[in-house]
Amino acid sequence: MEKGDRNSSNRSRFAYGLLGIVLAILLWEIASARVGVSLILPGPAEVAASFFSLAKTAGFWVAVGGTFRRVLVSFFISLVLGSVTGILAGLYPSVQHFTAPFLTIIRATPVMALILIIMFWFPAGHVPVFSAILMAYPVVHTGLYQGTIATDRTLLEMARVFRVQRKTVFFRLRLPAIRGDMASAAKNSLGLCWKVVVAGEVLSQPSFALGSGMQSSRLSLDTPGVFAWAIASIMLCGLSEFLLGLVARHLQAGGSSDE
Amino acid sequence: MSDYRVSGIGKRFGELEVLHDFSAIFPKSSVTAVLGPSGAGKTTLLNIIAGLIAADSGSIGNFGSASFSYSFQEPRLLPWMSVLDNILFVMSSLPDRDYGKKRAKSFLAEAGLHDFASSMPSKLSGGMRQKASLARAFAFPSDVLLLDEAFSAVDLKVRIDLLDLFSKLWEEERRTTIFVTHDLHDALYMADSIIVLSARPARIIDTVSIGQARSDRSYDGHDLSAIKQRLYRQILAND
Repeated sequence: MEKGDRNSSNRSRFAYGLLGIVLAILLWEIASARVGVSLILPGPAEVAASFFSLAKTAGFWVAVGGTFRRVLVSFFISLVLGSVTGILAGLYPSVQHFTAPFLTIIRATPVMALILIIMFWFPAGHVPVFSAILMAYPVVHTGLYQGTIATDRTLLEMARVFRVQRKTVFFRLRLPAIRGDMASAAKNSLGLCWKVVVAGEVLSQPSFALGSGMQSSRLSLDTPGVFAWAIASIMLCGLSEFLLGLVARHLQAGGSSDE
Repeated sequence: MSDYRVSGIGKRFGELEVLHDFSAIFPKSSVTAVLGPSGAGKTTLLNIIAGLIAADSGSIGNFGSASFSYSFQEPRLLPWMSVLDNILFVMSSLPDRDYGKKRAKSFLAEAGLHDFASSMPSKLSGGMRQKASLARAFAFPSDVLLLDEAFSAVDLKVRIDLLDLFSKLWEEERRTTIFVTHDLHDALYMADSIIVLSARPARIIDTVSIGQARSDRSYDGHDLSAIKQRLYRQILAND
């Protein structure tokens, strides 16, 4: 695609996205006016006011930092662990057979049940992290496993005929071949980590957490406050996905260097 | 080293018998074309020789200790690497990296792709990609060069260009070459000898030596009309 076409396409995408947001806010305003009770459904203006007043407090930013840290820790651990086992499972069927029952159980377990069980085992601050790892790890594992087994057999065959060393095949053929799968798995798992970490915080109530703030607003019947915390969580998730997208694009563009 | 030979090769894929008691001699430092109809088992034969698949029976003799270059029907270039990096990828197993790089650049230049060394394969035409694949096969210092219908997926002009490129590169390093094709003209233009195969399961129905120098041949084969007619008769009689 030409640069001019791409800019035009980006502008059009942005315009449609903005239109969607405006429409959603409009519908929200109409629904809120119809309900007429702030405790049940506050309007956008009320929530925005609550959000800005919250953002002025130090506690909000400390909570944001705490949740961000938990999300990053759970994301990186599930990414590394899922990548290693996913690739190994793609290379060696015995690893896939070994991990399959565990992954099936994890996938079938409801998030809330998992968080409640983990609450028996770990301190409050660790519950969201472990819950998110357990939920995000299978996503990464499966993505990388699928990518590894789908690696172009004809290229692997070519490398075999020319007796290319296994290390070179792994780093210069297999890994670049699954870059797209890795980026996709990372994006999916990051979104999941945000959802599970916040859910885990709501239930386990650690110090310095968005989820704890949300729960505390709920207990004091501050519905605009709950919405404000939720909006903060959505914005942070969007921001981290955007940053991850930039990193993934940078990695994809820089994968063709010489030896 | 003596000529390469395979003896008594048999291969089945389930119920389908592809090769049955196949034996042949491939003279050293010469180009042998294996000519046969599509689906006769020519690629299977090359893959057995290269060690990519195992034969059910028989022996690949001294091919077992040989090193191979392979130019496939499709170029099989890594799409995320430049053309030069694709060649360096296969050269990475060589102990002397500088020697490998020098050969890669030299054969790329011979193939007329010097200016495209840093281009990605997606930026090249089909014919140029196939040239890069051929340059890669020649750049890798193997004992045996295998070509699997390496010129069949391009138009006639590009095909003749590729065949001429092959002859030029081959003259620089006369490597034992096995070239499978279903195209009689390609075989007559390139080969020192032609092994004609029957339909599946493949068996040898004729072996022809071509005495005429490659540089004196024309692609239409009019200067080899006697051999051409003989091969046509063999192919049609066994169709």
